[in-house]
Amino acid sequence: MLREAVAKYFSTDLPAFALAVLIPLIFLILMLKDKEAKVVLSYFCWGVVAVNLAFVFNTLVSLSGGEARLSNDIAPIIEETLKALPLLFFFGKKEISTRLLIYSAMAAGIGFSIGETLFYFSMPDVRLGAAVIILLIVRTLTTCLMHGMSTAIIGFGIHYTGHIKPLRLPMTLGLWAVAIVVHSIFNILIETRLAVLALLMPAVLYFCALALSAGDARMGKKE
Amino acid sequence: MKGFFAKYPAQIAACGAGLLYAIGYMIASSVIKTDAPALFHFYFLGASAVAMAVVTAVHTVRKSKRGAALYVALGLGCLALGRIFVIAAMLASYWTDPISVGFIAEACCYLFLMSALYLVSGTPRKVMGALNILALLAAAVCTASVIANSEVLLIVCVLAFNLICGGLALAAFIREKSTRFFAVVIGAMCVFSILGLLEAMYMVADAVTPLVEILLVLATLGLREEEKHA
Repeated sequence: MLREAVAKYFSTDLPAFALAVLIPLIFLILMLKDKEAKVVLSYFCWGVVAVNLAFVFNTLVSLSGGEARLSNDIAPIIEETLKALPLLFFFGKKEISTRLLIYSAMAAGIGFSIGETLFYFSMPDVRLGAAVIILLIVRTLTTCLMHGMSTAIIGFGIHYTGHIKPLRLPMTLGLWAVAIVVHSIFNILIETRLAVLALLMPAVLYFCALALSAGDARMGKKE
Repeated sequence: MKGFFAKYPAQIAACGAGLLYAIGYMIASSVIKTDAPALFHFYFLGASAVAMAVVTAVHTVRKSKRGAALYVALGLGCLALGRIFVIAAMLASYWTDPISVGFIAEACCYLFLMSALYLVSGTPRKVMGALNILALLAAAVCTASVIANSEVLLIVCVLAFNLICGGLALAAFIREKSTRFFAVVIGAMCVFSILGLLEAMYMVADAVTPLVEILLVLATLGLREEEKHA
């Protein structure tokens, strides 16, 4: 079954997209001198790799008879877990830079959403036209925020419990569950007449995060 | 006693409302033979969880030092999301199996309560480390239950989370006098959650859920932010 899933993966445009994005970015990462920029871009690259892995796992589930539950129940678990995996790197660190952690988490999510959007719009049944361009813009706006914010939620947990090590695991696992449910609610609502709610949800999360980070920056300046 | 009522009128009214709702729901379910009471209760639980999460989050932002109260707010938020998921699935006519992602959120909210209890109870780090490993295993079982659509695995994970949380609540009750009410409420939440797994007790456990959640919010609002591990 794995062989079948891998064969299906190579019959799509995903490997080509991944290579086209990853190779130039790896060159850029090697050139960069700024350590933080290197880390953020590396997480972005991981996001692009994660889409490919997620495709293989999702195909495996689909081939083993889980097609009906894939999009709303199983895919969010697979995708959120894969996107958040490299955040474990921050687990062992004593000093965690808040900005770096949350930016990296978001970069992984955005990398994932770019790969996913490229894949959806390269499917043979999608014909480019004005309607598709609008759909592409709406989808890019919302899914990139949804994927970015759901991974950033987990990053927030690791950052927040930085000074209380025993709480890192339960907090991260709890927020991982939150990320899965946010993703799943988005997937369910986007296919219904309540799609507007699904479109608004990631935007609300993003603006809340922006307001929080602006508040933190102001507090930091006062101190 | 009179002084007690005068001192906490809003809290007593909220608890009374929760108790009346529980009794009303049980009577309505036994009298009305359609699924209308269950459906109303279903939406009510979702709305009440959102309201409780908002009240706790506002308190956390305004007054608390973002300690244990923050974790309770996140836990209630997680629970509310789980219930919103089930409502969204129902509205979208997506209802394939009894085990869905919503249950992950409803089970994993205990992870946040564990964190809150650790902060207030002064549990030794090593013990918490061991509990963390158990929680990780329980979360893995929970995920497996959704992927494999297995009710048995879900029961195992709910039991595991409740036992871990109940143990921490007991430790908090014994060690810290000031957090006894908080510990008792979380303990009660775990007991009702375990009882809810039994078919005979499901109705009672389900009916008292809003009351227990009201008590949890009241206990959190009254919590003194003197963490043992801050």
